[in-house]
Amino acid sequence: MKSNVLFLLACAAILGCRKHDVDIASLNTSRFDPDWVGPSFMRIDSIRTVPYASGALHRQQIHLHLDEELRNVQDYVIRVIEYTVPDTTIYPAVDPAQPTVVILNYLVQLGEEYCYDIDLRIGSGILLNHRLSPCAVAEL
Amino acid sequence: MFRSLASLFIASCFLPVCAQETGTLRMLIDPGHDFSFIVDHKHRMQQREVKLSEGLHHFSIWAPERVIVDTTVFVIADRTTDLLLRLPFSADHLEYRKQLANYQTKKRWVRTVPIVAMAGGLVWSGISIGQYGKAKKALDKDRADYEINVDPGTLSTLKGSTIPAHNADLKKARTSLIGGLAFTAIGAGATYYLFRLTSKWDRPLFDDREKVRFDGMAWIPGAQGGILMAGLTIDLSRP
Repeated sequence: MKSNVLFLLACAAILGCRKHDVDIASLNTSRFDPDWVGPSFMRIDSIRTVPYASGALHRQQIHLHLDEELRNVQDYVIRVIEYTVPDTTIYPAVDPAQPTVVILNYLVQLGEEYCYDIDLRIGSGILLNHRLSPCAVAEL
Repeated sequence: MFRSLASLFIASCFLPVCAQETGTLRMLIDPGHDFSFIVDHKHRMQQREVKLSEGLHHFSIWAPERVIVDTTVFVIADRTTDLLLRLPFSADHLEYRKQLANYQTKKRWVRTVPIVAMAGGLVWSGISIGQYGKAKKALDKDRADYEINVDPGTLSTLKGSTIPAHNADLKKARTSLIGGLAFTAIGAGATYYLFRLTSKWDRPLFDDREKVRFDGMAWIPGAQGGILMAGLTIDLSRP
């Protein structure tokens, strides 16, 4: 009886050891993980079309809200690709003190729809899975 | 009449004693204790000094585990004579000693080997537990790093190589631990089994045939022809 109990305890101890392994597939709780699947650090507040140059031209303004968790990190870059004009890439100026970044597209025609890919890179240029892909028609 | 008869009787009792002169024989026998001897095939004695009448006397000397040595000694009247003698070990005893040594060596080895195996298993398990603890600690640190680190490159390295390597270390330590525990268990089982098995082995017994021979050597003369002394030995010791 005593030996059976000892045997069961030894089996339980050995099986208990398995819990100490780290399951890499389930390791995705950090929002800085390139494999992150969940809410983005960025959120579109608004997309507006506003006239400039005495009303002769129009530009589209995307107001992008950044989470505080991201703003605490110094070394990040936001890259915006606009597809209507090929290879148009915008790197908006980022002020870590401000929660909002304004992305400006100066070449819009009223009535046209413009789509953007906004992605986020951190550190040595590693792309995070926080991409946003908004589209908006340029209208006043 | 009665008085004269009594005087004659008393005189007859002392007459032979007074007629023979005696000498002392001091027995210096190896082993120095526990030896016995029979004088002149008649008198069994167990003492270091004996007074005997002058003349040649036969001695059969024996001690446990030794052979019987027969010798004759001339005892000189009014003098102390030393009999210096070493009784050799009997062939049966030498054979018994050999068998006993073989038995003890074999029993010791059969019992020692599984104990050593079990001790080895315990050491192996101990080392494995140490390695397991080290790998677990490394994984705990990796997990904490993952939670606090904001560098995606570091996180990728953690997930891509560091944690898999530490997982492999943990798995290796666990396999080793299972092996060590299994070895310990087998060693413990073998120890238990072999202890039980060897406890049933028959220990060699010493059959002192010289003693039997010696016990049967005493002859006590009597009026009707005498008595042959014989001994019966029953070994009551447990093996």
